[in-house]
Amino acid sequence: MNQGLAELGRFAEPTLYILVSLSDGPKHGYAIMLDVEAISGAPLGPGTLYGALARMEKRGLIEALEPVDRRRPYKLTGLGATTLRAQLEGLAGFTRFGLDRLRGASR
Amino acid sequence: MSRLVNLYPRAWRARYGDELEELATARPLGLGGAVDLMLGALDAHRHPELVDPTLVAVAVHEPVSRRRYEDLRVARRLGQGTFVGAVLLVIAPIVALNGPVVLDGDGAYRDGMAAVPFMLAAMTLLSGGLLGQLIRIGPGHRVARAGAILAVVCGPLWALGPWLVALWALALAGLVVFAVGAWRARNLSGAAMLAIVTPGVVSIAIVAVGIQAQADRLHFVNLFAVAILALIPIWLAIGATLLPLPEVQGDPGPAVESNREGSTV
Repeated sequence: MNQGLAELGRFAEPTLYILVSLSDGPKHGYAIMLDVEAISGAPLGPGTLYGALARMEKRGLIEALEPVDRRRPYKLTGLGATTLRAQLEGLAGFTRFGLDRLRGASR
Repeated sequence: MSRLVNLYPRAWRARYGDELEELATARPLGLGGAVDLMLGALDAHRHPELVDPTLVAVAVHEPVSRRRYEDLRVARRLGQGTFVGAVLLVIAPIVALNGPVVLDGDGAYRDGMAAVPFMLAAMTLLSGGLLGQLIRIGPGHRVARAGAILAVVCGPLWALGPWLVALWALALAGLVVFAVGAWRARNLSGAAMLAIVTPGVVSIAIVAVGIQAQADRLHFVNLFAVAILALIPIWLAIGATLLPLPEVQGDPGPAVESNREGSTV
């Protein structure tokens, strides 16, 4: 996890999931919650979701769109997309590194 | 369950309230979701900077008629008086604890009668604040109104006879009923409700411990002084919730400034 998200403390992991969730288009809170549950396999509580959304909005990672009824969709900003890409590339590098070591150890 | 959203600060509710309520009503939250919402509210109070505070002025206070605005201004003055009451509430126990020790047939006791005028003034100003709350919450809300009226009557009566602990307990019970009733009716924020209920319960607990331990009269006065001081947040919460003023319909002038000034509770 890079410095940008690590400073979010307990909201760092939900933030990453939310970034992934919004990467295929805008979603409102309930849709994000369901999507994150499907991605991570663990429920995302409303307090954690909106704690993370507030931080992401403040940092310019996401942008709120006009509400539809009482549901307000959020979309990824350019900075949000860049941050997500950096996060995922970091994780991919870490995964490759770990797998290489594991292969080396099993030889 | 969506009532838990009221635990969030006003600015947060103004920005995310509708979405959170929608989420909370979309499907049952369960115990885990409820705890998560409460932790989220705690986090929101710790990080008010995450939400623009001026949102409160826009979203919480819809413009009102000139007549309603004048009523709320009266309520605001009563709320300012409650702050004076809080100062008197601090002075009263100090005066009582410095009263002379008197000996009678049952032993020694501290004569705290000099504190009665301060206590009476503090309770009367709180009653004024509660009348302001009745103006603020408007008609209906029977539970909250009944609690406020009980406290308005019992508070000053108790101050006239501080040894009548039952009247004091009734006044506190009235305050608790008012706070919970107004919170349930969404007329009081979760933080303000807790600022009224918690000191009330703590204060009653302190006195109950004193009675249970059969503290002698000298020590009981000390304990009662602590119980009185514990009540200060109630005066502050009653006063602070009366400060915000809405805009007047078609006249958005100076009311906005007053509103922002008092938008912290």
